[in-house]
Amino acid sequence: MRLHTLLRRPIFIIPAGIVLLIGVVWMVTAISAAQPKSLDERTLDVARQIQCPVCNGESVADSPSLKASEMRAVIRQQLADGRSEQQVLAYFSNVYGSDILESPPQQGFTSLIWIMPVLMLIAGAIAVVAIAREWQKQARVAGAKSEELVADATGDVMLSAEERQALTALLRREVAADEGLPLGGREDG
Amino acid sequence: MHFSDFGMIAQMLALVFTLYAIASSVLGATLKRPALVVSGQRSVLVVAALLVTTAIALIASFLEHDYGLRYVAEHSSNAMPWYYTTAAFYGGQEGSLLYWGMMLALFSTLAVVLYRRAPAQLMPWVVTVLMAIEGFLLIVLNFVSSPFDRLTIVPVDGQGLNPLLQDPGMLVHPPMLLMGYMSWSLPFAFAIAALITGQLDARWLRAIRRWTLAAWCIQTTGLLLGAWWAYHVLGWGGYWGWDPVENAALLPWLTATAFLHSTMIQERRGTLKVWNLSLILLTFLLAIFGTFEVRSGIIQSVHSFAYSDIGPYFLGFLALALVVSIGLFVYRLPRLRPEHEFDSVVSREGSFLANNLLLTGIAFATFWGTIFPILSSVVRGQTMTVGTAFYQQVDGPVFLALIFVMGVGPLLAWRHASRQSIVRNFRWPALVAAIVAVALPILGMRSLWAVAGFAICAFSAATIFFEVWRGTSVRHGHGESYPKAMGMLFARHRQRYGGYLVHLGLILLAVGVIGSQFFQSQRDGLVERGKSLTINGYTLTYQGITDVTIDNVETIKAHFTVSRDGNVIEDIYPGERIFPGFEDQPTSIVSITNHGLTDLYIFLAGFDGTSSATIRVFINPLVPLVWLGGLLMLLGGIFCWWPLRRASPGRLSEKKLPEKTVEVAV
Repeated sequence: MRLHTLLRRPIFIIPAGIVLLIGVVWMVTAISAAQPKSLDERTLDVARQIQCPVCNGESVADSPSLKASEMRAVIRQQLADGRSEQQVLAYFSNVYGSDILESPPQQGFTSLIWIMPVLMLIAGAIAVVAIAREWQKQARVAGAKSEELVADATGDVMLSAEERQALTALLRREVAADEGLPLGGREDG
Repeated sequence: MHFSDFGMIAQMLALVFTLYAIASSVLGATLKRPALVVSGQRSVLVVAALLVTTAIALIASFLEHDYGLRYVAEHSSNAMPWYYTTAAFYGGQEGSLLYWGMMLALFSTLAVVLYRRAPAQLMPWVVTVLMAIEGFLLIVLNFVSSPFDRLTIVPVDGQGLNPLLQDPGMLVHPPMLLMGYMSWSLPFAFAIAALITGQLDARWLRAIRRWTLAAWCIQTTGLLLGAWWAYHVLGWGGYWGWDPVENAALLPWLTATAFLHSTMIQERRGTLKVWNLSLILLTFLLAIFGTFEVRSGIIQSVHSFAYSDIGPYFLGFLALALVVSIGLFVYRLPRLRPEHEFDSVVSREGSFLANNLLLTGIAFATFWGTIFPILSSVVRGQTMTVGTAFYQQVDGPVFLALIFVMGVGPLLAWRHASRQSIVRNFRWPALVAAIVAVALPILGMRSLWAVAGFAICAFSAATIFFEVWRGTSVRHGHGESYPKAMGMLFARHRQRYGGYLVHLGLILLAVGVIGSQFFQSQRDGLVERGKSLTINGYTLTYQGITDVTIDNVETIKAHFTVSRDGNVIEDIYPGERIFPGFEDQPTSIVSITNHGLTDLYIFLAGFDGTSSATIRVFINPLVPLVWLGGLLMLLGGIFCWWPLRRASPGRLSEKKLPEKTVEVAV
């Protein structure tokens, strides 16, 4: 119960504390994670970026073909000899042509592939928010009008406390009956 | 007289009746002659009967090994067991088109029978659209790509079926996927009919509500089976390769899922008419696009065995469908003025909008990546490949955002969620997510992307459990025991809680995907007999190899023992199968064994007699959750779809009251 009240009262302190804790833990992780990758991981990273030349639409990392297996061995050897990932990729690009590289380079025409989805998503988000705003405005105008109408007709917008209570009780009974629940249960819910 | 002759005649007659159905439905609707409309509907039944006959004739030709038929000779052989011989019926293009046509005719029959009470003006146009699609398929079947073409020289034996397809997964995956594609024709037909007649209220939506759920279930099954087949047969340690053909199957699923959600807004609040119409039209067009892409071979894909020359016909049909859809849409746009009613972005409606934005965002990115190679070759004259990295980096984060919205949405009230209700509903799930976000790095997880992913999954799962617990405890407060209360909760609100099951399934699936994405290890290795290879604590020792030929199928199995901490825990037999006629195309037998929630996945890449074997070993953490989650999604979908008993009408609670009042009362 104490935790309960604690959580309710300082509405900003606890979430802020939790966020801070997560931030600290993540920072530490990010720094400690910056260890060098293993040769296996590096080989795979490079292999994922190269298209298997004898298959249809599979990367060297994925393809079960013998050719891909040989290429993985070459990548591993070159990395073990101290070449960088970029140098190995450049080597394959020289031998097989630039088509062999899997992920399109982020420059020139091919950068469109990365930019377009992001742009579309942002444009979509802006459109959704703008439309929602517009609807909200219209709803408010319409709502004000209908409230006026109701006020004109009845002379009072709000139900009286008694009416409200009677209505709530009726509604609760009906919902309970629909749900197949016995009547007269707990009041809240 | 061969079986195929019956098939050929029935196939031709089916086209005749299809054209008649179109003509009589259109005339019946425009001239207001109910007799013609009924006649058109009856000829749908005739078309279905004729196409079933055609299919039976083709299967019979397969079973009696009628190699005079080119299609039979190219897709079966004497050595194949009867079930693959039967399944070869849809193993090639002509047969799968026929299967497609038959399913469409059967679905159309169902539509005619089921929707007697649908708005009467819609039905003739629904029939017209369905039969127009059927007509297209039948024209291709009869005149371009017929399964009943005869060879002048009859071969003694057939060529057999592509060995990759001789697999139990392949018996069910293509028909399910094709059926899924086809089942979107019905919502499409209703949407077009609504546009033609101008009956654009929510009635057409209500008419197809359960149908779209069924179609969604079928398509989900098709996708899952495809992933499962890829995992078990292809031997690359994964289940989804973002291959163009896989993407094509995913696209309509994404837009259909968006549609299923956004219709809820239209049904509840009357808005989003235009959007819903466009989504359902888009879903069908994407399904056709998928077929076109597979058949035309314009994009390099592992599924390229389906390549053929009917691509242009599908392109033409796609263009026609697109033009008709857009034309009608623009024509009716003035009537689609929605009743704008929107109170707050922080509401159920708002979350549905976010859901739709994200789903269509994923769909767009996937579509973009799929067609980009074509764009590139047109613009630059240079082909290129869009690798999995693109999809992972673009779709991945959006997908995570979707899971977050999925957790938030169902707990927001319609119209406007108050601040108190937000704090009340979300503090515990947020706490769960925070605990996960802190605990995982402390326990040694290094990838922050994965931690964030797991935390979001934990959050959304917690909201669902929280919601179920809350509903159960309210019922318990009314005197029901906890198990009964929970059972009743699900039984009484199938749509809502079925939806939660689907969500929970997707979360499980996401956990599996994150696990296998970030924590997969793999190693290639040449292992000599008696020697071993160790990966992640699993030691694999090569014991030898066996080679057995049964019924002309040669099965090679390498024997490895797996040990952990020095104890042998199991024997595994990765291998390959060689089918007669496909000696240079062995299919692999991948060994997959579960160790808790981790899969040990071994693929035999090669061998040198009994002296050594080359294997690829993958450690795939959490992959079993992918299948479990998929299954749960499917069960949830079926649960939603299952017929619901109606509550008695005319009650206060069914009238339009502000949701907040209802929330207080329940």
